[in-house]
Amino acid sequence: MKQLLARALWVVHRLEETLLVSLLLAMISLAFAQIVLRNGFDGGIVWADSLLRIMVLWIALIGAVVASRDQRHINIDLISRFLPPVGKRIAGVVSTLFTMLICIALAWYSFDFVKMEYEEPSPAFAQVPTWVCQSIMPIAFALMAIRYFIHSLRLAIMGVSVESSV
Amino acid sequence: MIELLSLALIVIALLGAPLFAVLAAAAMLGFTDSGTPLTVIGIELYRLVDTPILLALPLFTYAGYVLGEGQTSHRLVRLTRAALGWLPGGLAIVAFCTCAFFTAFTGASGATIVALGALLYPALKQAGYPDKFSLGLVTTSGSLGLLLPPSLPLILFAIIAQQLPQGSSVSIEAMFKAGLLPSLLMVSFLCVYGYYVTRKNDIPLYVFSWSELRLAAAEAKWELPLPVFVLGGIYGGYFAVSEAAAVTALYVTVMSVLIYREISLPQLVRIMREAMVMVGAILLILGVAMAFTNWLVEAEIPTRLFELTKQYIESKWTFLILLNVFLLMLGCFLDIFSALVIMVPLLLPIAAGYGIHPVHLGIIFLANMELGYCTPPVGMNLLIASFRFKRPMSELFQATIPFLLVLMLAVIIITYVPWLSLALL
Repeated sequence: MKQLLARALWVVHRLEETLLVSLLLAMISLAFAQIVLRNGFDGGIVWADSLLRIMVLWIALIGAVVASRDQRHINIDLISRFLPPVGKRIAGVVSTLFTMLICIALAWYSFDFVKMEYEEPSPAFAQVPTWVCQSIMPIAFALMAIRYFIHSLRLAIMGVSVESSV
Repeated sequence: MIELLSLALIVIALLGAPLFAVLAAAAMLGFTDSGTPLTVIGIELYRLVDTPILLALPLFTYAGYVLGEGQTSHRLVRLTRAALGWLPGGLAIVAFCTCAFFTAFTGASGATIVALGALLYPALKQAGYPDKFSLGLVTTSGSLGLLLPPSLPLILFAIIAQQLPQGSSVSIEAMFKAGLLPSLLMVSFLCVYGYYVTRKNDIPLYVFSWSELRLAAAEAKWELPLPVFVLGGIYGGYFAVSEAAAVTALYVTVMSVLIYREISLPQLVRIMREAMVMVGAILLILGVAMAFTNWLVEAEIPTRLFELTKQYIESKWTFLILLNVFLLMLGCFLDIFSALVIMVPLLLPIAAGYGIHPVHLGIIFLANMELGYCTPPVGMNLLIASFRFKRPMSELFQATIPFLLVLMLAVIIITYVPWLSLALL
């Protein structure tokens, strides 16, 4: 069971990373192609700019998911660095559980938003409906909530939060 | 009730909860209080898509990460030394100029100290500069160039300012132009200081040689066009900022992977992942901060804050003095990104009320934050330098104090001479 879970996580991690890197590559290529087409051929792909902006959102959210895995999110952390180990551990559990709750709320309300769009679909670019582009929001926040749940468990049980980055 | 919850949020932020979660909670709290359905949070986040200039951010960040990883730092130092090393104060001036240039691209993410400091510190010591001076120099220089395009904080400030009614006219291009003279002022002050301190030390100067300059330029010939893309493209109006970012990203990839062959494909994938994790962390904060800012504006909090300050502070100049003191203290405790998203939405409308140009405010803000990189307890330059050079932070802080004082003088001038920031607009 534990192995299966670890395996599943591994697959999800590789998927996240592959998607992240592919999106960046696609973004650079598309942005450059657009410049060449616009300046060299007076043309350009009509929906390229919309797609590029949606790619930024996807990169932002998937990057944020990976950042939650590595605990790389920016925090202020003024008190906990002066706390004794036990206090640090409690502060860590409290703040990761809090973050998990907020991520669940964000997933819930952005899912609501996607549902609204789904019921009255509008095209985002080309033939792709807007709700498909938005769907990354609830997915990413749900993944982040899972990450923070794991962090809080690890902190509570073992006292360390960041696993070796697999 | 809402006061109590806000207090709890502040405590949880100080305990180390990620800033995005704190800001999202604050926004949700605010919207609940004003009776707005919380689906608004999804709508607000999706507004990231309505901000076309955001495209520049991941592209420039990625380009900076690639440059930080390759051997660009070596070639840059060699070229600058060949060009400027013969000046009195030689190597110190070389160090300031290369660090400023490098930081502009790497966005003061610590890459400057890791890539350039590690190179310059032994070189400075070998040339006969005092140890303390050399340490202070490389530590301070880690954030020099923060005001030069295409640095990340300049882009972020423009994006945040545009969310506010008072700052809607702040463009990235304007910020890119505004930072030039203030940066020049800071770098030249430091150069003069470097010369003044070392004039008594018997440091042999480099002899200027055309052939070395030619060789160094030939070695760095692929990097040389980079500033042309960014500066020439944007200032000349040939490129939009996001286009310049795309060209830069593609160019540095081709240069490092195919031409110099310094970065292998697996390395490139790792760099891309690292850069995009950083972008994700920043953009998510930006997204929730936009929601929070929107609530602030709707609840008219900046306006109320301005009316409150107006009762106590009458003149623009008093306000600017207090602003400097406040920002300096803020810089000691907050990193630049947190400070930007939290404070700019509050400060910009107040400053606008005193008749301060939003672009000028941005430069004042970032210049102060540049000092914050070197102040304890959370100065990032101190942390990274302490890690890199294996020295305690207190020793590094002592070494940076004279440099900080010089920079502070520059910041004061930047604050009270708006012309420096606004002349090129």
